[in-house]
Amino acid sequence: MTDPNDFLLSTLFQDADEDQLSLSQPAFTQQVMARVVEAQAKRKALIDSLLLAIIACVAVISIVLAPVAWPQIEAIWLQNTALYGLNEQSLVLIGILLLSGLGWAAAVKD
Amino acid sequence: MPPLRDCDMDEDLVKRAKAGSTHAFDQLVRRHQNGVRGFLRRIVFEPSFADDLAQETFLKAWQNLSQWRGAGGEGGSFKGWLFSIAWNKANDARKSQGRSLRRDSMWTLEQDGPPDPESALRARLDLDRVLKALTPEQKLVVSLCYGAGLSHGEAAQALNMPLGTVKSHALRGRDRAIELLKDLPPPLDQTTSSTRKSA
Repeated sequence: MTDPNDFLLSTLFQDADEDQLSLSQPAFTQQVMARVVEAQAKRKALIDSLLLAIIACVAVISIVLAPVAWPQIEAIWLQNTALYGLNEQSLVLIGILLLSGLGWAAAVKD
Repeated sequence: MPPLRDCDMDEDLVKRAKAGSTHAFDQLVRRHQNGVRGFLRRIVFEPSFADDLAQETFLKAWQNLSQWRGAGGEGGSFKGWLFSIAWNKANDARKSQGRSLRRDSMWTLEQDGPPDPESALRARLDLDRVLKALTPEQKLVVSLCYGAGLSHGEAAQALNMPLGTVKSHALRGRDRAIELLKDLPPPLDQTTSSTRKSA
C-alpha cells in the first residue's frame, strides 16, 4: 500500500506539472523526432561521403600507380595463379562475386 | 498473458529503436518526456531552456542507444540512464554557459501559453515553496522520486550517488516537505467556504 505522505507529495508534483506539460506534449514530441530524423540524415550523408572519398582515393591511387607497378603485379599474379591452380577467368569470377556480395550487403544495410 | 511491466516495455521499445525504428523511439519520448521536462524545469527554472535541454537529452539518448546495455546487462533501467543524461546535460549547461540557476522570479507566473487553472497554479506555488526549503540534494532526489516517479535505485543511477545516500535524502526531504505542506495556508476557496460555514 502507498504511504499517504508519498501519495500527497506525488500528487502535488502531478498537479503542478500536468496542465503545462500535457498541453505542450505533442509539440515537444514532434520537435524531438524532427531533430532525430535530421541527425539520422546527417549521419547517413556523412557515411556516404566517406565511402565516396575512399572510392575516389582508391581510384586515384590505382590510376597513378598502375603503370609503374604493373610489371610487379603481373609477376605476382602469374606466380599466385600457378601456385593455387587458378586461372585468370576464375579470379575475375571471384572478384565479381565479392563485389556483388558487398553491393548486396550495402543494399540490405540501407 | 500478464501485462508488460514498465521496464519491460522500455526494454522492448529500446530494442526496436536500436534496430532503427523511429516509431519506437517516438513512443519512448512520449512515455518519459513529462518526467524529464519536469525534472529539468526544477533545476534550471527557465521552462524554454529546460525544454531545450530535454530535447538534447532525448537526442543524445537516440545517438547513444547502443551504449545502454539493458536492465539485465547491468546497464540499470532505461529511465535511470535517461535521467542521468538529463542530469549531465543540466550540469554541463550550468558550467559552460555560466547560467545562473538562482531563481530571480517566480517562473511559474511568467510562462507562455494558456493560463493555468487556479488549482494548478496553487499547486505550483506550494511546490515552489516546499522545494525552496529543501537542501539542493534533497530537492534533486525528491524531484526525481516523487516528481518523475523514479525508484531509489534509478535515482541513484541517474545522479551517480550511493543508494543509501539517495534513500536518506529522499526520506528527510519528504518529511521536511510534508511538514511544510501542513504549515501552508489552505487554498482561498477552502478558506472562504469554511468562513461561510462558520457564519
